[in-house]
Amino acid sequence: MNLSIRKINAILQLKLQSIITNLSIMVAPLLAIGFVLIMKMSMPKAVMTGAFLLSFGALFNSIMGGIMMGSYPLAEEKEKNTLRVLMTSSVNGAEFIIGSIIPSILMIILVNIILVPIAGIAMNKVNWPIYIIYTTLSGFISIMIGYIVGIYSKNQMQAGNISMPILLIFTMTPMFQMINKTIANIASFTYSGTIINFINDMITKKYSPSFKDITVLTIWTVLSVLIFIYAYTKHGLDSE
Amino acid sequence: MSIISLDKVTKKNNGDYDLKNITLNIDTGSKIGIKMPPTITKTLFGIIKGTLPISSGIINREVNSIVYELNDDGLYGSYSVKKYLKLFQKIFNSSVNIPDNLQEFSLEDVENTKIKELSNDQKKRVSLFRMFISSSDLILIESPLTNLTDEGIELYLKAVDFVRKSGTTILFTSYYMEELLLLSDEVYRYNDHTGLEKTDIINEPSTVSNDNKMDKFQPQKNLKIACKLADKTIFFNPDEIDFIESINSVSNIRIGDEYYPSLLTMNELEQKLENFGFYRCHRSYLVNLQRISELISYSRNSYTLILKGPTKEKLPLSRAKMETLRKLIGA
Repeated sequence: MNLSIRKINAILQLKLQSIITNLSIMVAPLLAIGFVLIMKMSMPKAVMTGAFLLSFGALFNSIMGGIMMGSYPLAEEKEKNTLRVLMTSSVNGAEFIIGSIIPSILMIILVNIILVPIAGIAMNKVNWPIYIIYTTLSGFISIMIGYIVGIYSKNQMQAGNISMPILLIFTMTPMFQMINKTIANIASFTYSGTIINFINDMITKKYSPSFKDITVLTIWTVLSVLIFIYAYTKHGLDSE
Repeated sequence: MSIISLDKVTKKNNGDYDLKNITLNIDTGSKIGIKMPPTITKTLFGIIKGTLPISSGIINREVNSIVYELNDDGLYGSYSVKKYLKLFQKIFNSSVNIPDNLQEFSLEDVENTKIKELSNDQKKRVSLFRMFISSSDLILIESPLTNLTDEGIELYLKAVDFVRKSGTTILFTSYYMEELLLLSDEVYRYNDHTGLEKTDIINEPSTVSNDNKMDKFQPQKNLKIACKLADKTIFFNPDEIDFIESINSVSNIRIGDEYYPSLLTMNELEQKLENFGFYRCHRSYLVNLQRISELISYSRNSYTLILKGPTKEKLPLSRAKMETLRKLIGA
């Protein structure tokens, strides 16, 4: 499959605009920032620790934002029959995907960085390389899940319906962890659980990358990419 | 020079035929129109472009730059016309100058308008401009004139002429013959059972004075039209016939949903049947005036006759024939 930088660049600009102008997608990064701000200002500091605020914001942004940025634009293109126009205009699936992922990832990274000062955490307390790698990777996994949802849905409404439960499970991971130890243990094997534990450890004590965390994130990444490739080769982007 | 030739191409899907027996030669500069239902147009376009594999037959493709447009293709509504065209200029890596050509597509005044604010007529021309930018050798378009206004049709036809003059071959498909006659010179129709057949469009010398014909009018009641099917010859009363259509130089008598090939030519049938209330509304059609239920004008230069019956068959009527028809039916 030939990849043309020119076409990827054209798609990238197209997608950047479609993400920024689509309020139902932008609601995720905006809510992430907004909630963190509101909770920080309105709740007592003992409950709303910096670690809690940052992990909440990062999860919201990376998972909700990622899944929405993957599924909505793809479903919208299918709904409005514009994807077909691109595909018949010599743009291939890989160029479309790469061009669409780049602006989504950049947006997730940017918001995750902004969230640190907003959550009231000192810049030197953050293990930046690992923070960026972990949160970006979870954003990438979410975008892949979003694409899988996008492939199987015909319009934005359907994409919203399918992604909502997935999105809730992963963003609510911290709540589930509070229920009991068994669930907390299971949750630690999800990619969202890994991010929470990492941020907690990073702020409260010193975090050093553990074998389990790296393995969990790698398995999720590989698995999401594999399922995406399966769905893509079976149905193409347009599963009509 | 032939751009693409298809020889007995068939496409099957789950054991059923999607497309059957397509034999078609698309030459450079040819103006082909194909009458077919919208459900199979996408398959035909995919096959011609090469994105869909065929089940049997042979395709010879001399060129690879083919773009197509289906009737419900969408545009990016939040983009302005100029921005949208620039996006595709980048994708196609095209050297086509957009501002210089806006006039040809009658889009000069809406250059900076958002696409969602454009009329249907304008959107169709933006879409045609996009395909023009691709500098493809062949463009395939499905039913572009459906839902356009009279003015929209006129401007679209002007833009199509411009694209054709620039050296691009355009093939149209539509479910309506009358649309194809505006867009093309060579018309084929797709039949589920037999495949693609050419419809004759013969340029006849203009008709004899119509007034004389009116004077000669005399009812006759002793005529039967003979059709040969296998080893049988079937006779039809003229009043049973809905209309007669010329397909591949054979006059086909249409009764209900069935076609029966006649042994006579269109001219012979016209002579025989004009006294039975039949009228040659188009070079390829002879219509039973008693079956006409509606007359519709989609554009200034063309009219369409809608016949009675469940299929509401549509027949083209040229402007020149309009007056004579009005006299005949006393409208």
